[in-house]
Amino acid sequence: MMTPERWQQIDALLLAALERAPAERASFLDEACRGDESLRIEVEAMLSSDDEALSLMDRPAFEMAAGLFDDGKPELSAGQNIGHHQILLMLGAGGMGEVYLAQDLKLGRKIAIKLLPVDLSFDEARLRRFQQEARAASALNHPNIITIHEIGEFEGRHFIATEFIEGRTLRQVLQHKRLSLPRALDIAIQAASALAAAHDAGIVHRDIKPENIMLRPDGLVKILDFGLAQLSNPQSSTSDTEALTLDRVVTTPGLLMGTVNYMSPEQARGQRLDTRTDIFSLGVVTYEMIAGRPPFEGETASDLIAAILKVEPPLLHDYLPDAPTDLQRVVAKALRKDREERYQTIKDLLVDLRGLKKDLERTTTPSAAATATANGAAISTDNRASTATAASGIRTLFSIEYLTSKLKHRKAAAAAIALVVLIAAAVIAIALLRHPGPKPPAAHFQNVNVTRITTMGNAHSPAISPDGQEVAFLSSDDGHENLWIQQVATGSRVQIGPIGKGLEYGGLTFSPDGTYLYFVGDGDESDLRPTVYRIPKFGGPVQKVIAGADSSFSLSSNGRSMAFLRNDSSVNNVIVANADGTGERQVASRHEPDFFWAVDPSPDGARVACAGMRRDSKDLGAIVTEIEVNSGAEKTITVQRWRWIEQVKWLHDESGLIIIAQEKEGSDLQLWFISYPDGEARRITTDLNNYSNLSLTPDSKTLVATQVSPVVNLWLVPDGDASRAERITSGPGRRDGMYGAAWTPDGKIVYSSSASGSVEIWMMEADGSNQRQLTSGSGQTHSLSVSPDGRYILYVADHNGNRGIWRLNIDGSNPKQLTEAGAAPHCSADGKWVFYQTMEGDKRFTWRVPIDGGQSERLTNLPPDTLGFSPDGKLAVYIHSQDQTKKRLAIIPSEGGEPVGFLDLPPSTYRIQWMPDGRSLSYVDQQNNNNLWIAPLDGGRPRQVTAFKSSGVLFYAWSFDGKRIAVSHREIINSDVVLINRVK
Amino acid sequence: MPALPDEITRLLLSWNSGNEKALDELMPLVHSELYRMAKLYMRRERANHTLQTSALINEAYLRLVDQRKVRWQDRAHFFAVAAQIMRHILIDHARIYQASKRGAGAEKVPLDEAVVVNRQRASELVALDDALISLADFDERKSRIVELQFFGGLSIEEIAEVMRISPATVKRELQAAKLWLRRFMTNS
Repeated sequence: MMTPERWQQIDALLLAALERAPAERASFLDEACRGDESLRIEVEAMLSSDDEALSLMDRPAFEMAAGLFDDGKPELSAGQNIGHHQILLMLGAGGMGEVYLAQDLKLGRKIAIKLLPVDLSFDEARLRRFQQEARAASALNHPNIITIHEIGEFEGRHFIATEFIEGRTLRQVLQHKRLSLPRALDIAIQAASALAAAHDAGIVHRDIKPENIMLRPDGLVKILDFGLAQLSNPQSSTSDTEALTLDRVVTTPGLLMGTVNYMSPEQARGQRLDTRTDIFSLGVVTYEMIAGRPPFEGETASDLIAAILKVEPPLLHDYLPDAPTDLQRVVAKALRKDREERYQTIKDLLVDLRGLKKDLERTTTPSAAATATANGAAISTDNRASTATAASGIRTLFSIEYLTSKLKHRKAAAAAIALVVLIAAAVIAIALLRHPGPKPPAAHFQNVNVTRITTMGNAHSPAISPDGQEVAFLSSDDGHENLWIQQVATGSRVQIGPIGKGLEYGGLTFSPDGTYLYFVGDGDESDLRPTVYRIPKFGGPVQKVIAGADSSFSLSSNGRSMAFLRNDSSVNNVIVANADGTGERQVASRHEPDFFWAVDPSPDGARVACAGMRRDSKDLGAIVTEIEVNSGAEKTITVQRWRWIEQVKWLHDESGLIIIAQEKEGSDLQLWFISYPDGEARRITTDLNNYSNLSLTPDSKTLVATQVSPVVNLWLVPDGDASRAERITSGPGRRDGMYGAAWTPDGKIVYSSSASGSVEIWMMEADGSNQRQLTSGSGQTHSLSVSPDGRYILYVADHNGNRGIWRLNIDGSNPKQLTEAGAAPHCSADGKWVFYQTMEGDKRFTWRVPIDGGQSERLTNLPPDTLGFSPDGKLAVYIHSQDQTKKRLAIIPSEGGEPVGFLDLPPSTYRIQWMPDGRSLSYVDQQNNNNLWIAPLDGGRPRQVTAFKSSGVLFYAWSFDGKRIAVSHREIINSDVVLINRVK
Repeated sequence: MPALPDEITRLLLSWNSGNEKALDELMPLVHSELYRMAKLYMRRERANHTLQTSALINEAYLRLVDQRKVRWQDRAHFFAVAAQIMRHILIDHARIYQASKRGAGAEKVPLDEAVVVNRQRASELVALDDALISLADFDERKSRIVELQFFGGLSIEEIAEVMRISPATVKRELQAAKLWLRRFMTNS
């Protein structure tokens, strides 16, 4: 510690030395410090930092502290409302304003709200320009561009409401690691794809940087802040100034360094910008992802700008010795300083990036590719493609997700339908245990040939021409639906071009003369409802036929009438009209909870077949109803019920109907034949794919449909941190965990898998290694659980036709049947009992049977709809009540009695489980893409755990220590068009 | 509600004529006004990127002090008080900021670069304040000069007036103080 005396000594020498020229100081100190070496060292140490001025104090404290003020106290606080959005918490703040997480009270979803800087309100021109761009960006509707819900104003403050993306920015990811080449390319491709859509619409981003690139846990990339770059420049009220100018950067040291790195040379010069600036910036980002450091570096902003303008970046080879030479070429071309020499369009860059990725996949051995995936790069092109295609119109998703995604169109009925479907999800699996099998086959469609006629992987919505010679179909490319016409005989095809509208429901339909194609697309400004359009087969202007179609629509084969559904509040109406859209009339309607989903007029137009959900005293299921157009008389055609019917089509001679239906939970959407009028059903296709968009020739001889191959894999979520989720199973055609998964106490995972061709129980380590099959011939296995002592696996199965609850030793030996009915078996905490459930009506009842077998008894002290017990076995949770706003759960002692607590969850929750720590419940929320949530029992705010964009969580299981979650998640890998021929 | 200019002017004059107690009364009045204005300025800053402490304090001075009754030297003294107040305001704020951003869960939220920069600045400010307190232990004059310049935004000439020393001495003292601060902050 320095004494005041010592300081006076040092200070005197310091001041004296400072009076002298730097060159003279050494000899001065030699003289002055003679005999006191430590004094000299001290003074010299201080002087040595002289040239390096105290950078901290270059600017007054007040300037440095700017930003601390607002950030310390958010302008909005939790609970406050902005319009119909309720603020939940502040996510962050920066130069562009504050960002909050909010709840959209109207639609019940989480959104992000960006509050724009207050001074914006004073700069009308800038504000208007920003709004124009943000509106244009919001219209892009591209999976890789953040969705803008609203651009609004509240009490004088402007804000943007966007989708809430849970994930990390590329910046955050890059701070921790360099990305693998496949992952880096994948991100670059997705970003380029987003920019391509924006550039097409005339929008330049201007501020592409890792902070504006968001990576979701499921691998989807989202570009943020389109249009916001406009705001960052206060002087830019005239249209030719740009977001950042050299002048501003240099006069604001430090502050903008993060952004300067990604500026294009023309941006640094303050020149007028075009789309090519984004190409450069994306080049910089791509370089940094691959090399682990940015291509241009500098101590200060001006050094950095000098480097951007003059310095050639080091070769990528320097950082990545085995970098392909093509990679160097592509990145270098994006980074050309003269924009005339750069890639001229982002699409050219996109094509090259995709080429690189393809080359890489070809040259990478399968094992290497698998390693790349396991290394946390939990994404593949497949995954990306799946999300992209799913978002852009393929309608063959797992029907619950499909329905959920469509709920926005069925606004008023939404809550009721979600409720119905989630009950269906819970009920039917159990109810089906008691159902008889399908009826014996009828004569029609005994044998069919299914031939894939496209291999594009993104083809869908086919229609076969009336003469059976041509198939029209769509492909989803970068957010557009492109129309193709393919010759059936030769397989040759031509691309007609974009159909000009977003596809809403169903696929394409040929006009009876084969010259036009009909489809249901997005509404326009005059009428926002989904609208029926038609376009000439070989392209041309889109013509509006009729607005307000809330389903796919069908033409009768005589070409005179059409039928479709229209929703009106909670009522779902069947509408019939003339083929030109005139003469519209309503012939039937359904009130919630019943509803129709698909319609088809009979060949002569006299009747309409309607597929939909019906609920009666027994249970709920999908059936086909026939409606007489003139009288409105209704009759049920089908005998059996399905979990879901996606589509219905008459055969030309009315001898029957073809439907696409899902038999029960977890099964696939397959083709079925229904005889008419006796309504007996027989499955036509028996494969592991899903079908949709059925189209028949007028003679019913040839069918086309979309065929989608879904894959279900298990993912491991460590520490409840979805951003670290890893896929632990993979392989073609896999259905891992589709019917359940459970942990053993020593951390292994027991799961259902179809890897051996039928659904069996498998076991593996938590990292996906050592996968081994435990059962064979178990048939329709589902509802897996493991006893707390780790001795037994409990499950529902159909071993050799003996349906019921079964018990299996953990090593796969000694299967033993415990009951002949029931579902959802769970072992009691003391290991002595197996609890299970049965359905009566729409109520479920809890039973127990000794673990070693014996008499079952119903637990009459527990209320109906008890969902399960706490891990210590002392408490039980049951559904106390539910309505359209909430599902109220009550906690009671497990021996029965009055509730000791209540918990309100959204009505759309299901798969409710007690967490291993006993303090929270976890559940899947259908309103939120079937993602997993945790709700503390003490009434704390529920927390979202996973952030899957589509399809979401099928099943999940907590490890016994409550740290890890095994989640099964469905992905769509390929979507292609198939031709289905009857074999005589 | 800003205090009446009359009262602040009276206190300022009283303090300048040697009444140290007047300063105790003056400080809280100036503090609340400066705090209010600082917040306003900070917010304004984000949009136009110009921010001057001297402008802020000058504006406060014009609002708070009756110009007809004071000499120009009184302005410098007002600034000296304001510098001290600004230091408290800013350092308090930096400490609160540090504390709030360290809270549980704060790290998990995606933050943009400005927040990261702010976090770094907040800790720099706090470290500098600690160093200034240490410096004041054995060389109060240097510590005060730094305060006037860095927190008050005073010019060399204004500091010379307040401290009643020559501008050349102010310059030298500042230079030595900065060398010491730098050494202190890199060692600690």
